[in-house]
Amino acid sequence: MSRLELLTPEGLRVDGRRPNELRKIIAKTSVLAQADGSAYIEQGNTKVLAAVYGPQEVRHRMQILHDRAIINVEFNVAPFSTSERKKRSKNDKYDNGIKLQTSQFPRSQIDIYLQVLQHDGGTLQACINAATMALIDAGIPMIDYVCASTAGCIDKQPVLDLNYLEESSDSPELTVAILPRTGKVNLMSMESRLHVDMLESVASLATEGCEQIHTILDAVVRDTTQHLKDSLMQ
Amino acid sequence: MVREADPSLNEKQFVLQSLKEGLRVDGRRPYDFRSLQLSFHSDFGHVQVQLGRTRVSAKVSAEVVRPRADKPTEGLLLFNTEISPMASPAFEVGRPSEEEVLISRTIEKALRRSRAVDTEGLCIVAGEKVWSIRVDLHFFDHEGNLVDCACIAAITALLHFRRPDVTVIGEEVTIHSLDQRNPVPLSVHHIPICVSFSFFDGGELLVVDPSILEEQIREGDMTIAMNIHKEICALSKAGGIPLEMDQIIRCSKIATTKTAEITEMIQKALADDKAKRQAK
Amino acid sequence: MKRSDGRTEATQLRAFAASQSLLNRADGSAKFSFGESTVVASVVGPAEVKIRDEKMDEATVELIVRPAVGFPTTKDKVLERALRQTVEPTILSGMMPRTLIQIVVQIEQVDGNILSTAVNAISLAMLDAGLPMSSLVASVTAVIDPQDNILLDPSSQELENATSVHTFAFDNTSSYNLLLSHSAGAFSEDQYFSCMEACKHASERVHAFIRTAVEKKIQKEYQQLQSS
Repeated sequence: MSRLELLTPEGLRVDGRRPNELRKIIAKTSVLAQADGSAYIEQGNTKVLAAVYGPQEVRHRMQILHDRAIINVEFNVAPFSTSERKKRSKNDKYDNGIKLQTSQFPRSQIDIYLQVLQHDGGTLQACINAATMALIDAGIPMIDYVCASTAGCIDKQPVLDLNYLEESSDSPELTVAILPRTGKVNLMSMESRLHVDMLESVASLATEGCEQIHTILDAVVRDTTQHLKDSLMQ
Repeated sequence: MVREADPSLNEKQFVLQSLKEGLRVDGRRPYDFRSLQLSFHSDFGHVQVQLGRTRVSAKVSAEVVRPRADKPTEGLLLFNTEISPMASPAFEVGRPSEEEVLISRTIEKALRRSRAVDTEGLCIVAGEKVWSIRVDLHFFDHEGNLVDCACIAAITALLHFRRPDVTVIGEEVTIHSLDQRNPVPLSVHHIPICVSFSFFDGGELLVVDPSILEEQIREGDMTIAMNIHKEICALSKAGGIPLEMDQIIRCSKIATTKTAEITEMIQKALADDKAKRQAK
Repeated sequence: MKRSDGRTEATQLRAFAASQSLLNRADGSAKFSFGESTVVASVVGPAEVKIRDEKMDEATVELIVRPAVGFPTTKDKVLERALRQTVEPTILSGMMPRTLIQIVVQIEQVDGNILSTAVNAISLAMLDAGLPMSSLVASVTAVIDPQDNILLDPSSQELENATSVHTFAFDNTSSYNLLLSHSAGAFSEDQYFSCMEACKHASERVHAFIRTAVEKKIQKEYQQLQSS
């Protein structure tokens, strides 16, 4: 039972947003010198860093696939990331459903490392967005962006982009990752209870959020590339 | 570990061709579940579920422990979903395969995060003694769709289980043995049932309750856990082929029907078992 | 003499129950129970073996025990070793060099000593898998209670109150060779040998039961084949 009012009668949430508003997004690429590709994303107070190494030689010879690349994802949550310092185990492996042209790189490996620096709700979606940016930064051919967003339902009202408080309440949390060009869903994950009739509205709200994120991320990528082009042309 | 042979190209083509005509290799139609059989053992909370030829059994046990420091009034609900090589030579002891992790996560999401079992009702003395309910899943035979089978086994076992009765008078706690007082059922709020789908042909074709052959050939999969009140308790579509949103909505509608059917079967089996025990 | 679960004789065994070929994926499988004590065993083999476990002249026998409740502990490891040492000599592993025979034992319900139930289940499972064997194994447990009586096939309660527990396994050749002897507690030499004798006679009954169970199953299969 939430002691805080997560949604006021006027339609404002705890952080002052409207139900269909995304949190502020800051995205940067090429933030790490060593990695082939890297990205840093802030969605509200959730901060995620992604690093991509590859395509490179496969580390464990037993796992080589003769026709495709192996994608290895490691997900790490920093102990200082939540309000209480907690020790986390490193072996949580999320399948972020990234769509890559893996058949272009047979017998190789692409490593994606995700580090959650601050956790304020929506870590999975931030990680997916960060990973997409990092892969683009690394120059790995991709069919499309993978943009993810969360949505929930408070008092029968669908709300977009949940923060930590909203997540910890009894609100269902739906994470959706889509390929913006076709609008198809790559990943969908839901926890807690949601009535099946509400699914459509909550899911379409999340999809809208994904498309908004796609616009923002695409702008960042084009901007960075433009800067790069300008500096090369001088 | 023994290596599994992948299905041959001929088999793959045959399965896909049949699916395009609306037929499945084992004679089912795309939305049909295999036959479900529930059998209870003599002890409470021990049930074996057979879904087609997939066989999983669940065993529930209870223990009195100290509660977690951050949740002093809640009991514990633990799941053990280790798969032994008995289910299929592809599983190794000690090293959880990806499939095992996914199954474990889905069951935890569907049964624990959805608050199916009332953990506050498991409290005996706040901050000192609570019940720790443990569900052990034994996977016997992997003929496809271990998740759904395991979920049905787990929730049925939780419904079937009886824990020892407890009396608390002031500071004194008495746990009555099974012959002193009748054991008490757990407080189960709702019955989540998992329904798994597999997708083929670029997401155009889908089947419910995949067999092992269909699982090996599929391009994508999704599991929806729902209860009879039409609430989705968990939805998991991780990777695999991308789908249209209205396909997912359609799957949720199919899941509604299947959940109602299976919940009815579980209730009937529990009622039959209760009648048998009372007759003894 | 009245025993805790209603049995009247010290040498009375609980009702046996066995079924074979339960599982699809395993080459052979069987379920065996002494009363409520139930064990399911599966056998896969001869199958591909990992290079590091490969034996040049015989098959590698791997045995895994999964407890009824919780994760495997050292007790299960001890059980694994005892079971493997009992059944390995009966398998003609020289016929299958550089292969793996994987036996998985899942304990379903514990009511008394689980070692003897497991041995019998494995025996039936290996038979179901069609493994070449020199003989079958049957096992029975005996306890000595505080009144110095020998009780066969103890229930959990009798096991708890016992001063010593003895599990024996015999093969079904004419010389009734001893394949397993596992004892715990304080006992005299005489007590040990009396228990062994009692178990030997009891295991003859188990062997007879195994024979009948398999005969019935084959007859049923034959009838099914004939009628189709």
